[in-house]
Amino acid sequence: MKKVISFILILALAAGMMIGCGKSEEGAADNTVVKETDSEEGTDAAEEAVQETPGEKKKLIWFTEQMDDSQYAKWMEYVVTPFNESHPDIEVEISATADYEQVLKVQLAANGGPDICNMGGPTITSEYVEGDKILDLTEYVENAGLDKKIFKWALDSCKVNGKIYSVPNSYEALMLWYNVDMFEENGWKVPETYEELKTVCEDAQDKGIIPIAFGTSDFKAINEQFVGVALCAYAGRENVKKALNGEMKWTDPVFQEAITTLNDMWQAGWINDKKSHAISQDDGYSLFYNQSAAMAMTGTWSLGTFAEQIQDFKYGAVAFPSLKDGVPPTLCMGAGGVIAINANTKYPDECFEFINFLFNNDELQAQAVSNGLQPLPYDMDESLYSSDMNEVDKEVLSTLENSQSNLESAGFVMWTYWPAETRQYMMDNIENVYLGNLTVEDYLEKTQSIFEKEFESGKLIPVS
Amino acid sequence: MEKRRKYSTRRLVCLLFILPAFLYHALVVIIPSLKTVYLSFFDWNGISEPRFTGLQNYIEMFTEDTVLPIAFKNTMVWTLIFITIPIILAIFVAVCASKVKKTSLQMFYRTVYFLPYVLSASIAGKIWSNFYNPFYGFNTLFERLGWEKLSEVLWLGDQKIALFAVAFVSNWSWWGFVMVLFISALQQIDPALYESASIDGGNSWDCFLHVTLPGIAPTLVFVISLSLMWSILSFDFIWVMTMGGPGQATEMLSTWIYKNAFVSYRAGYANAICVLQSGIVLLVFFANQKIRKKVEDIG
Repeated sequence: MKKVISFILILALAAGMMIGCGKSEEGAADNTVVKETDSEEGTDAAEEAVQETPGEKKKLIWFTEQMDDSQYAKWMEYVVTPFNESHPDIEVEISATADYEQVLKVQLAANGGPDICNMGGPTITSEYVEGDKILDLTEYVENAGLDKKIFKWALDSCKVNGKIYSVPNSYEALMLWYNVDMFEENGWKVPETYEELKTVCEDAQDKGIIPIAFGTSDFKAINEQFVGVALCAYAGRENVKKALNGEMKWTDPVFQEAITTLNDMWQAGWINDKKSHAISQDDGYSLFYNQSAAMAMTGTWSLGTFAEQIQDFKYGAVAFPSLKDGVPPTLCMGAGGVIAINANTKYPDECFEFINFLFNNDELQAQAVSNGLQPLPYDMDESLYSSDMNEVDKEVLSTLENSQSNLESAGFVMWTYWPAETRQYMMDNIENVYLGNLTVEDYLEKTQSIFEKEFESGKLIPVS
Repeated sequence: MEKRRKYSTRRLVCLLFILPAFLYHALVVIIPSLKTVYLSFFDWNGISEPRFTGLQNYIEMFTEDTVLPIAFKNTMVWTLIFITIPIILAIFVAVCASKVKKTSLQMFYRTVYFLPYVLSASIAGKIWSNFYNPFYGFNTLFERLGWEKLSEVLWLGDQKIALFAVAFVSNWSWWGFVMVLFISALQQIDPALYESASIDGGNSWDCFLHVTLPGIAPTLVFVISLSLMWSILSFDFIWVMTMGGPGQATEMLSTWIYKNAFVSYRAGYANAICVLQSGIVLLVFFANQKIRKKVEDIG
C-alpha cells in the first residue's frame, strides 16, 4: 500500500512539475499576455526561435517598462492588436516588468532577451552598441522614410557613431504645472521670468502654500528634472549644447550660476518647502492634487495621471520660467525612451515592420495620444485627436508641437542627452549641494571630470 | 582490510550523494563568485567585452572614490545596530513571553511580534515612509500633542537621522524573527536548572545570567553571525525608502554596488566593491566561527 501511495505521489509531483514548467499557450492566443512576465523565461528571443515550427506565427516579444492595466490595455488596443490583425504571420506579445532595464541588460549580455526592446534613453543604447547587442537600423529607417518623418533632433539623439541604432518611441518635456484656480484666486500671474516666479513663490509661502510640489526620497533620478531645467533655463540652450558636445566645460561660470540659482530656490523653500528629499515622488504630487501646493514639477508623461487624479480644480502647464535675462522660458525636451532591436533576434525584418507600423498609423496614434499615451516624435495632424480630448492635454500637446518650429526655447532632458555616469553623479549629488555637504564649484568640477572621461570613451550622443 | 574497503565504499557513496548539491552550488555560487573576482580587474559596462585594466578598479576604490568610505561607515553603523538592539530586545521579550503560562496568550504575543517579519521589505518600507512623511505622518500627531521640536524632524530627510530611521524599520521587521529563535532556545533549557538556582538563593537576574544566558548561548552566537552577515549585505529597506539619500546619508556598500553596476554601467568597478564586501563578510564569518568554537568549548 505504501508503495502505491508513494508511486501516486511521485506521479502527482512529476505532473505538477511539468505543469509548472510549461508555458501557457492560452494566454498568448487570447492576447491576455502576462504583463509581469517571468523575466528569465518569458522574454528569450533565442528560446522562442528554437520552439518555432513551420507554419506557426512568428512570435515577437516586445519588452517594455512596467505599466498599469489601463496603459497596457491602451497599448494593446492601439498598437499590438491592430498590428497582429494586419500581419497574420506575426504575433507581437508585450512583456513588461519592473526594473526592466536591469533585466534587459542581463538578458542581452547573455545573448538572449526579447526581440524588440524599449530602453530608457538614447545614451543607454550606446552601451549596447559597444557590445554589438542591438541592430544597426540605419538602412531600415532610411528605406522606410522614417528619417524624414521623425523630428531630426529626436532621431539624431539615437545615433551612435553616425548610425541609427534605435528609434525614439515618444517625446516628452518637463513643464511647470500650476493650479489655475489657485492662481486666479490669488491674482498670481503665470511666471515666465525668475522675478515672476519669485513673486508667486514668496506670496504662496506667506499664505502657507507650498510653492512647487516635488518629492525624491524613493526615486533619486527625479532630481535630474530640476538640475536639467536649471542648466537650460539659466545658461540657455546653446551653452548646454556646447557643454554636451564637449566645447564648453561644466565648470564655466554660467553653469555655476545656474546651479547656484537652483540651490537658492531650494534654500528659499520654493521646492517643496525644503523637504523634497524627505518625501516620495507620489507624495510630492499628492500635495499638488490636494491643493497644498500651487505648482508641481513633472513631465508631459503625467498628463494621463493628472487627468485621473485632479477633479477639484483646473490646472495647466507651462514651460519653466526663464532664470536669467535673455534666456527664454525653457521646455526641456527629449525622447521619452527608445525602441531597439535585439541583434540576436531571428526576425529583424518583422521587428522593424512593427516599429514602422508605430509611425505609419496616424489615426490610431492620434487616438492613443488622445487617450493618454505619449506622442511619437513626428508632426501629428491635430485634427485627428478625438473631439472629447481633455483640454489641458490638447494645450500641452499643442505647446509641444509648436516648439518644434522654433527650438530656441527647447532645452535638453538629462535622461536623453547626459552620459550614464555623469547623469548619476549629478542627480545623486545635487542633494549634497542642497544640504551643504558639497559646494557648487566642487559639484561641477567632479561633474566635469566624469564627463571628460565619458566624452573620451565616445559614450555621448550627438546633440543637434 | 575488508572493513577499510567497506568504509571507503561508504565514503564514496556519501560523496556521490553530496555531488549533485555540490555541482549546483559550484554552478550558482562558486563559479559566479570567481568570475566576480576575475571581472573586478576589468573595465566593463556589463554588456560589451570587458577590457583588462589590472588593479585600476582597486586603486580607484581606495584613492578616488569618495562615496565608498561613507558607504563603508554607514554599513558598519548599520551592522552595529543590528547586532545589539534587536538581539537585546528579542532576548528580553522572549524571556518575558516564555514566562506567560497560558499557551494561547503566549502564542498571541509570538504571532504579533513575528508578524512584521512576514511583510516584504517593499511593503513595510512604503508603510513606514508614509509614517515618516513630514506632511501627514507622525509629525502631524506630534504637532497636535504640542511637541513642536519633534514635529519638525525630517525622519528621512535629515542626514543625521535618516540612517537610524531606516534601521529602525528594518529592525522592526527583523527582531520578531530573532525573538522566535530565542523562545525556541529557551524551551530547550531544563526547568530543573531554574529550580536548583532558586534553591541556591539566586534571584531572577542570577537565573538569567547563570542559567538562561548559557542555555541560549549557541543560539545567540548563531543569531549574531546571521545578523552580522545579513546586515553587511543589507539593501532592500534602504533602496525602498531612501535609495541611499539624502545625499549619501544612507548609502551602503550594497546600494553603491547596485548604482555602479546598473545606473552608471560600471559593472567591472561594482565587481571590485563586491570583492571588498565579500572580504569583509568572510572576515566576520571566520571571527565568528572562532567565537562559536570558544562558546561551544565553554558549554
